[in-house]
Amino acid sequence: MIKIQNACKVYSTGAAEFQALNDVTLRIARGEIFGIIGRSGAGKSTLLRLINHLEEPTHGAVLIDDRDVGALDARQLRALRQRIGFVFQHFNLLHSKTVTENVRLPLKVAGRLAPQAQRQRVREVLALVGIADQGDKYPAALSGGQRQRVGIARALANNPDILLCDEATSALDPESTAAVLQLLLDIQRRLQLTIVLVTHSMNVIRAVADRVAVMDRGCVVESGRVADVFLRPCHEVTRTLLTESGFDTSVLSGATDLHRHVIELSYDGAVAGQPLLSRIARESGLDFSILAGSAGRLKDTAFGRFSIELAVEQAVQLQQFLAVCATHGVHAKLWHSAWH
Amino acid sequence: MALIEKAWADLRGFDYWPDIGEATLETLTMTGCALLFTVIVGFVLGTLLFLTSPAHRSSRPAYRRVQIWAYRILSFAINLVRSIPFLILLILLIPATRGLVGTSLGTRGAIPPLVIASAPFFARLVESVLREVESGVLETCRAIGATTRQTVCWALLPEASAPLFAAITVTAIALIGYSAMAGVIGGGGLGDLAVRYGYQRFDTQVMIVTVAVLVLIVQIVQWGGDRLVARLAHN
Repeated sequence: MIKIQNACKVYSTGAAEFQALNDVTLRIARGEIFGIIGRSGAGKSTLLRLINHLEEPTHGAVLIDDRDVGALDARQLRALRQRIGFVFQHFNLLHSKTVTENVRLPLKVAGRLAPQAQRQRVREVLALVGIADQGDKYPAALSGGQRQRVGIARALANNPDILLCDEATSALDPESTAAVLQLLLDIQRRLQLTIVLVTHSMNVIRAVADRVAVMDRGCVVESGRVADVFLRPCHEVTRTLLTESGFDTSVLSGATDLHRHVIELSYDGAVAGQPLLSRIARESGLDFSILAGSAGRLKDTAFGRFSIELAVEQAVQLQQFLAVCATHGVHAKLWHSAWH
Repeated sequence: MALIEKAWADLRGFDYWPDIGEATLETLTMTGCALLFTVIVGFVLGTLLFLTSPAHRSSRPAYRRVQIWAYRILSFAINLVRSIPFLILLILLIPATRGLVGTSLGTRGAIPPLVIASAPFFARLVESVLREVESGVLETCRAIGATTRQTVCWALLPEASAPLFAAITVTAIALIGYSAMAGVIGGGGLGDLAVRYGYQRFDTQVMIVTVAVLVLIVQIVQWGGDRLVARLAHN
């Protein structure tokens, strides 16, 4: 539903030029939660802002439901933005207005509902985000987590199809972060929203995203299913981000002699519920020791990832072992081997 | 003791209270009317300055060019008026004032020059107040698809209301000072009274009472403004 095609963004400040986005192409499907991760300055916020044209691409195009956003006139663009919710890192609430008035603002702007219906809608969304009783308070009287709930309620007021979240949990404490992420999952399921969220935290991606794009210096360096990117990262930046978030991707250098091999096994989805490692050992007739690894969940997907050390003397045994892994739907990657 | 008794006796013998009362009323009328128009004109000018300032230039070239020129012209005109000393502005404006309100004398004649002198000042205050509004407010308005008018009326104005009233208070007090000068040229108000009795007739007592009344008015305006600002601030 959202297509970003060869998008480039260059900021020129006087003589200096800064390339914030460099030929980014992405496709985001209807009803998915798509994560964009990267370090600060990687261009992820700029990429997010292209979608509702808060930033205009220097080259390239953004299509929403096959309509070119860049070709819209001012009035059409405003109408489009009314159908896209935006959640900000620092909430961006009006301090001079109560929670109710803040949430009502997009409804007033859209002007489709009568004042009475607007108030009714505000009550609905406040109940949806779990702060039905806070309507008369001013933002200054709320905690960070509650303020972001107001921000989300405001973004949802006009019944959007798309919700864009720019570091929505980065200014929150761990407890509020978990609660807000749970809220995002909840509303996505209930309202069938498409959510695009930008974050620098792999744990946020892991908790809510279906697919992810990893950005570095204006480029998407890797993208795909969250499980694929987590279990088998291809790019150095992805690996670093994973390690920093406590998800160990290092491979222990075992392989002390000619006949020892370090293999990385990874799997996710339905197969993860089965006793895979013992079956592989039994069917291949080979023993191995586990060097490192973890098992757990990524959003709704169970996964496992283990580095093992295997001692075999003949190449054919190794081939056989890898074949057994494949029949069980386990990815096996050979890391250290004197034969290779 | 003798000194205080003498001062008290003088004050009891002071028979200019009706004049003081009338002049106070004139000053309040002049300042009040001038403030009303100053706020209206200055607010429009200040908002235009803000919306055309370098931080808010459009990415559409044609629109951007309009913004750049609007800002330059507006900014120059405002600086021009602000650089003319008020007394000279008063004299320069006499023909224009006659055309506008029919007379250059009295309370009525003082209002147009007061507005013209203070509106550019207030406009600059408005511009800087709006600039202090968090940039997130404007970004939010863009993201929810608000028009410029909606952004100004529903978000920018309410968010800036406390500092705007502080700026109105500052302007009101500046206007009280200006109105004393305007009175000297056209006649009317406390400034006029102070000059006529105190300076031209060497009646120090009238001058002191006049100044005391002015001090009182300024204190009350500042106190009222501060209270309003405190009520409007929700941070």
